[in-house]
Amino acid sequence: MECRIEYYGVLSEIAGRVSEEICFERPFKTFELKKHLITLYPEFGKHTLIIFANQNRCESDTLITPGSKIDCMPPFAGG
Amino acid sequence: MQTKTEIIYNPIIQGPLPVTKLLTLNNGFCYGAEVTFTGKVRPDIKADSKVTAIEFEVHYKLVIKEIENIIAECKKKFGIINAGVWHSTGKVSAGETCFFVKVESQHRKESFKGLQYIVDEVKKRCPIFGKEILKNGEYVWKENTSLK
Repeated sequence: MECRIEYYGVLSEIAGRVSEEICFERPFKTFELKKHLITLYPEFGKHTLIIFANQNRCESDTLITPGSKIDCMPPFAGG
Repeated sequence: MQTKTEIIYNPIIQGPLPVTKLLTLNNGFCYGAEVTFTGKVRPDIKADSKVTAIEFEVHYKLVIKEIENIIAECKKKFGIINAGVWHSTGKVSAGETCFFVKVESQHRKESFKGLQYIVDEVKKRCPIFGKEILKNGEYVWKENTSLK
C-alpha cells in the first residue's frame, strides 16, 4: 500500500523534502509509521512526532489505511 | 428584527497582523462585552543571540478546521456570542503582532473565560510552526513546550 506523507517545520528540513510517497505491505499503526520514519531519518528521533491521517489526529495505535493522506509534524509553535 | 451579518474573514494573514483594522471589524451587533488578546513576537535571547523575527508556516486546512472547532466549543462551554481568531504566516518582526483573538458576549465573565480558552487551545491544537530568526544570522525552531 502507498501513502502520501507531508512534512512540516523542522521535519521537512531534516527530510530535505516537503512530501513523498511511502510504501507498506499492509495497513499500519501510527507507532509503526513513526518507527519507520525514524529509521529513514534518524534525526526525527530527537523530536516529538505528531501524525494526522486525512486531517484527523492519530493516537499511537490508530490504524492507517491505504491511500491515506498523512501529515507529519513537530510540536506546534503558534501564538 | 435584527439579522446577523456574516463576516467572511481569512484567519491566516501573510506577515504582521493589522491590529487596528481587526479591532474595528464590526459584525452589526452591539454586545455588552468585547475582549481581545494581542500576541506579539518576543525579542527573546536564544543561543546567545536576540530573536529579530519569526517565520511562521501554517497547515492552512487543519488550522481553519481547528479554529472553527475551538470557537464552537467556546460558545457551548462559556456562552459567548461570537469570536474571531487571526494568525500570521510568513515573517513577523519582533514587536509586531502575530496572533489576535476577539471574543464577544453579553457580559464580561464569559468573554474573559472564552478568551483564555481560545488562546490556550489555538496554541495547543493548531499546526503552526515557527523559525526564530536570530540577529547573528542563525535560526532556531520554536516549540510551545509548555503545551505539549
